[in-house]
Amino acid sequence: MALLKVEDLRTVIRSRAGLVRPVDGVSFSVEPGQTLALVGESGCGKSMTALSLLQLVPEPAGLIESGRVFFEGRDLLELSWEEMRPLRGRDMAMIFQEPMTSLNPVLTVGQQIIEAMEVHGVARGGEARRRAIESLRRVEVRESALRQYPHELSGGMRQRVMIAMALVNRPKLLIADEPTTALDVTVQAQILALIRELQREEGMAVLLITHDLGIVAEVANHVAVMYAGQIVENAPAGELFARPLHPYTQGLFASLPARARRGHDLTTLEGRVPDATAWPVGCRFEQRCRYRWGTCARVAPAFYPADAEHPARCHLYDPETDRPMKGTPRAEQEQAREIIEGGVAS
Amino acid sequence: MSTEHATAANEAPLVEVRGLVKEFGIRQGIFSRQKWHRAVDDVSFSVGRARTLALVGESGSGKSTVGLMLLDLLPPTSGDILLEGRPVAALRGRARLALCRRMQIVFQDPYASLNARLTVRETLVEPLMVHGIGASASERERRAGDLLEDVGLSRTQLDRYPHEFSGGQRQRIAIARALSVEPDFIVLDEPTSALDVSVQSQILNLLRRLQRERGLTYLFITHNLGVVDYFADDVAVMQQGRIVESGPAGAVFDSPRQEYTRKLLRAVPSFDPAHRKLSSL
Repeated sequence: MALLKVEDLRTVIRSRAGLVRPVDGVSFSVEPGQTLALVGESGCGKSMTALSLLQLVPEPAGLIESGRVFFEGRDLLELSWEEMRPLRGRDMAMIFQEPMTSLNPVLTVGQQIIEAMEVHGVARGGEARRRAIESLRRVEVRESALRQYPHELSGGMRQRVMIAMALVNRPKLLIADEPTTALDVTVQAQILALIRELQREEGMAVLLITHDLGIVAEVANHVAVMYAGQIVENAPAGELFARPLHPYTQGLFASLPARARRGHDLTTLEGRVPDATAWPVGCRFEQRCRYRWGTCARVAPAFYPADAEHPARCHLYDPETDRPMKGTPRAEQEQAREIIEGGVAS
Repeated sequence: MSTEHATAANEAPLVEVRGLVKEFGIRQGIFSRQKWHRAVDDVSFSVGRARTLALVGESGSGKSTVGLMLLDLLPPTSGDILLEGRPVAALRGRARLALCRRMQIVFQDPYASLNARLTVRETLVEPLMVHGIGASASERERRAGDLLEDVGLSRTQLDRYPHEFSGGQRQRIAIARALSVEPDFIVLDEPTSALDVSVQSQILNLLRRLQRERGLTYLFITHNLGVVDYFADDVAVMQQGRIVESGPAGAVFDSPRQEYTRKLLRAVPSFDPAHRKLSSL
């Protein structure tokens, strides 16, 4: 059974411009011990999806309109705020991009980690302190950091402290929202290796939210690509990188700078993401898609093929498409492949 | 880099930096003695005309500080900056201003680097007025419109404010502002780091075209080694204020001589799930 199963999640935000729909029918599942990467560019709805899972959507403007979020078979959206409390930070932990804004500046590192255990009744007193030290040691932070305040630590150290705090209660699911975006590459590499190692040891599942395809390639078992509030492609990581199907995913790969492209212009995705207050009737990528034809603007694509391991939300893969050519040309997939293989010093 | 290029670069570097040092004073408390931190420590390099030198390194390596000193936005503690062989520090008054015109900068965050209270027209016309470019107001306005079109926007957008543009469009405006005074040399300080990859590719294409068309020389400050591998002719790797390794980008990336460069390269994700690198760290 999937640890986390999300079905047709829809989250709306009331704004002056009207009702914004950042998460518009998102479904995916995360298996125990596995990492699912939710990939997309800014504004695609990936962070709002994560906040919706924990029911942390900003109120009163935000509202989860419909959908189901099963965690170990229980629908979280049926639970009250009080009933969610024991899950948040214990069975499901979350780390955010900016550790400075998510740590409490007036409490020491030790106080914050111990508090995370005490509120859940996991441990207290000397036992909590012992576990806090152990948790810090695992992320390679020295014991003396317990008495320090967040501002006394570097960015990398703060993110390690965030991870130590998230992991101290041994969660079954870790939601990591751009956990390394603010960090240097060498620190990023250490943090990613650490998350993977802890995952192996503890059998923890990870939902990784990122815009960085390199990070996805390094840590994900499975990938869901998001565009304009929806998942547009879903595949095992190796399969997605070997054979990206959706024109958007192909465009993302093709726009990566790499030595293979030296002396040539990079591929660009012209145009911009449609307005989230009025999603188009048809395919949301249609305006920017090089393969579009009549059907695309009129009919919203479903996932094709519906039952395979690697479905894409694109009419090109509809077995009954009215387009003469089915699928994207082999050359596009190969161009993406060339860029992937020609990455820096790979 | 071909030998032909190498000779050309050695003969006439547009910009040259010799033994550049920047020290910042730090005080732990009001009664403690002043200590000095060397943010930039004996940095030397040169950039040939119409070439791109990438300055790479992690946060705190001093790469942005070098950029600020080149632009005369921060006084060096010691060392020389030469433009076409002439030391910049010796210039005063008008000559100094004329120099500023030839060197411009584009910053990382286009949300912070544009004045939110100025329209695009005002943003682009102001540097022209400062440097006395354009015979009349209408001439300057025409130039502003041309600039905007040259960076891929429309002159109908001249009266808009920065908040009406996306991040990528704002970065285009910042580039247009840098170009307005017709510089030879532009410091690009992480110009695409705040942008999505699909927008990054547009900005990189634009920078490449402008370099080709105008013969611009770039100092490209970045931590993104993929961008360097695609864009830069030469690369200098900075660590703790010093350049630890430099050379043609391809050569440095293929056979790095310093352990620190190797460490940086190893830390770049592989883009290939079949060949993961980070597990071996």
